[in-house]
Amino acid sequence: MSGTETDAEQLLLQRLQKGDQEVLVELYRANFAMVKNHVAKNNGVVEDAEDLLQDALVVLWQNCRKPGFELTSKISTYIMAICKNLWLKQLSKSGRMMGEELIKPQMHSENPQEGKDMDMKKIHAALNELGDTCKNILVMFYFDGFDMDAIAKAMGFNNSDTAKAKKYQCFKKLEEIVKKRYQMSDFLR
Amino acid sequence: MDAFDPQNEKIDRYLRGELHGKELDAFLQNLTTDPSLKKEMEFRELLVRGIQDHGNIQLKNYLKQKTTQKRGLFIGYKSWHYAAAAVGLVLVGSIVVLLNMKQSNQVSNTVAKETTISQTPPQNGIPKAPETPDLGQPVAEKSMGSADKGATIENAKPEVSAAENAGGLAIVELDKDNIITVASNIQVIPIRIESPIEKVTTMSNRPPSAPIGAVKRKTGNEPDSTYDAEKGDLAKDQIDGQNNGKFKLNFYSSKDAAPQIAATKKDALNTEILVFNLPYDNPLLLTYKSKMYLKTGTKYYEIDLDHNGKQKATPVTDLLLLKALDH
Repeated sequence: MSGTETDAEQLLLQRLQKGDQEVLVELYRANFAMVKNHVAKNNGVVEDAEDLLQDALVVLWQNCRKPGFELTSKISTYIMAICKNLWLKQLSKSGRMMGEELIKPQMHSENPQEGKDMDMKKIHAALNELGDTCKNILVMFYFDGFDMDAIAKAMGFNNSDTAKAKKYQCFKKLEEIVKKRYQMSDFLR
Repeated sequence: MDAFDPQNEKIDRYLRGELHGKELDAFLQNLTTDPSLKKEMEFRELLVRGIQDHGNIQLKNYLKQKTTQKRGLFIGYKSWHYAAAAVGLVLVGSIVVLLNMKQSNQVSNTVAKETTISQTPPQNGIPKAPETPDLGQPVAEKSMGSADKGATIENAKPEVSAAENAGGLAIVELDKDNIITVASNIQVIPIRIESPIEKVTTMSNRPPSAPIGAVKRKTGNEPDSTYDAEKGDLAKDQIDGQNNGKFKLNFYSSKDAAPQIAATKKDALNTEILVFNLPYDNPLLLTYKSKMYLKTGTKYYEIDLDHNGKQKATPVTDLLLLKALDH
């Protein structure tokens, strides 16, 4: 990569890390053709490519804020690696596997939903009951992976300690709602 | 343990996948020696997975919305002949649809006149809940533990409704047991109203996997109040009643079948729309600008849930309104 390219990539990454979702849209448009070609050559259709790229971008979104995250390739290469992995997994699940080997991107799990075989709707409903502030804090912390400073800034809190206390309080509230209504076995499908 | 307890921070780091190496090993070791901590962690992990799943859905929806809107714009110049063919097909299709709509509107108008909603028995073909239960517990007992008599889940079987034949007209029928049947061309959603308007119970035409959800309506001389999500309040909204001024809509919580706010959204003018997700059949109840709407499939119906025994749902045809509801 040239210096200008690197700068542009770094800028994109910084925007992502700060939580600019519009970057995901830009990356989607920039990478869709490539993902579509790959999927088309590997037993998939356009809709598969759309889903796949969306999933890959969600992975990037979450990973880019993890401690120690460092991008040593172009963002598009990274996205493509995740897409290839996810698509291979999907093919092997659906029995359409072509015998290709898994390509490992450098770090982390490719699928945040891995191992999911539980009914999450009940938790979604409990989250909705908490109200927007609590829901947003919990999603920002546990899904987006923002730190407390970023959450405090986004939510208009005085400082990260306030955000931390609020997050704790919200999680406790969620625990209460769910514990009051459900047993662990209620979540098994 | 409080928010600033180091142990709590470590648990959070574990839940966010930030513990590695020896630190992770020690943490896991600790879990194996402390069964109560392990159990607690399993529960927390479940909640965090739920939160992450929620975030994942939200983000994917955002991406879908942003990226599929523009898709139609990308037609390469080499595809002009396909585009031309597509335009031709769309034109032909539109004409066919318009002709069909004209026909179905004529039928709908006829049926609407015949089935003006009242406390008379339902018209032919409109599904209604039987007067006595065949099987199972009365709905109200299941959902709220009260002793109401009424229809059972099994009563609400899917049937071909008059509405189906009427090209999408939704009809609400109130029988002597205060069972309101909302019939649309998508599905049949009987709603029970307890006299006079204390609560509304929704029923499904599918076997439920959980207790019935309920919608409670209070007549209101109480002061208006707004939805306070922070306090974990139930959903509230005001609807102008014909005789009674304003009343509130309160959504019960009956274990996992309680209707939940699926979304709080705003239209282009920033007016709030509360979307209530009913537990069965995926119908949605929405309140918007002091009116109540039911969404089944892709269609919206304005529900006039007054308390004079004249209950009706009319299809929403106003394009601006549809756009706002679909926003």
